[in-house]
Amino acid sequence: MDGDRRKVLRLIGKGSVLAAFLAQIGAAGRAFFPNVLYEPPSRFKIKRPDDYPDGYTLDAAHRLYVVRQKDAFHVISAVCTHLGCNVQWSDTEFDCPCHGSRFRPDGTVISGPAPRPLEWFATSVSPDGFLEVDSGTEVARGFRLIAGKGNA
Amino acid sequence: MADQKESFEAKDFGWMVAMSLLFFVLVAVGFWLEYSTDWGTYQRTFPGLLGHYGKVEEARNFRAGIRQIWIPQMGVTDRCVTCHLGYEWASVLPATIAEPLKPHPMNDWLAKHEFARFGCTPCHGGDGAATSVIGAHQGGRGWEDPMLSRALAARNGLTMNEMIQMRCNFCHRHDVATPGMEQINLAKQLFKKKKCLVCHVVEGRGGATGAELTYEGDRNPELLNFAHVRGERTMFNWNVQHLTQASVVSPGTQMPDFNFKPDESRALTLLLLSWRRLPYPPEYIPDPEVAAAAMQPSPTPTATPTPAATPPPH
Repeated sequence: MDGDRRKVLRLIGKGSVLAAFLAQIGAAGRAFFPNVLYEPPSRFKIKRPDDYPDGYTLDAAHRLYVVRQKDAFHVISAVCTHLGCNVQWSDTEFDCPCHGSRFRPDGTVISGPAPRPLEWFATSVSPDGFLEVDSGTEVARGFRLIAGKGNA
Repeated sequence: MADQKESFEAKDFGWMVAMSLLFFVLVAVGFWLEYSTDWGTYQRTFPGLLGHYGKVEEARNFRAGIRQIWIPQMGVTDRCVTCHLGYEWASVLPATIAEPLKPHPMNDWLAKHEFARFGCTPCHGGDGAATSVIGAHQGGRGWEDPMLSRALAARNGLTMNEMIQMRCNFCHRHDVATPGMEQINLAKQLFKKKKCLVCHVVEGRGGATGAELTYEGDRNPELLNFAHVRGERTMFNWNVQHLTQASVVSPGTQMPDFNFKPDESRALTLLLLSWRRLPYPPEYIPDPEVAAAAMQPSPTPTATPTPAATPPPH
């Protein structure tokens, strides 16, 4: 009887030490994943939808093109998939000034060293009425955000 | 050997178990202290609030965690929005919601000073990087830039709207007058009218009789004489009383007693305290001509007169 009680108590004692150590190891591991970083967020606001004219507008600070067709918006990365120069819109296609890659208006490659098409970023309207781009999330070619006059 | 082991068990077994349990409890308390945050409570409430006002999808997509507005060129890391979650939802949430989930009021100034570009603390003060209520609002020990609150404004005989104009003038320093900054505009007029530059140097101009005022807002309170200051020993009170009756606050000074009205001396104090060394880059400093143009009365008869025509009521 006394031996049984000792066994249970020993189990509780050892178990609590083990649990405490495991919790500390877990906490030490958690430290490798900080809550926030001093870096630009992957999700950011750009201008209001109606600040963009029809067509392709370069946002050089965020390195992307805002494409507006009436009330439909989408956002294409301006970073060439070859070596990362800003591609330039030339009314019919994107041209990379560095090594001559050419892309169709939807970002797919026409020619040149670029291995992949330009990325399309998920776009939404923030609650206070700005276009909000999530450069961490790619969307399918053909994505359209309906915003602007009467819709924002 | 066997005997020794048995006697050890007999004597100290209870202690061993108790200490093991204590160790576990201490670790558990540590975890609880780490994870029971001020902001956790608010973040658990917010999705329900969004859902209540019809934003079901946004409520579902809500992810808990520390949020921040990071503007390195301004030196701003504002985690205020970790708790003040409703700040950009003025179009959906009513203004009657209690802090900290209340939406930020939308006005003309805000349209030109976007959250993403200006953050929170450049206008409101406080310690933006802190994630506890007290730490963010009051700052830790030695933090000299507390959040401007209604209580702080009331203690100095001002409204929140009047007090915050001091911080507007961090960037609008070189405007002759700025729409909406009645206190500072009044102070800038008085500064000219009373010819302060006859005795004081500001930005390289003026006479050298009095102290230089270019960075008056950075002056160290520990170097001032508070012996003759009535009320709280704050920079604000020292300046208010010194402007009105310099001979009382600083006996033997050459500065005349201007006997300003209370609202005039408070306005001038706001102006003086706004003159600080600040790290804001040129793209944040407005063109004074823009403000000057905005201050021109519009040609319509219903135009609001400029503060030059009518001093603000008090």
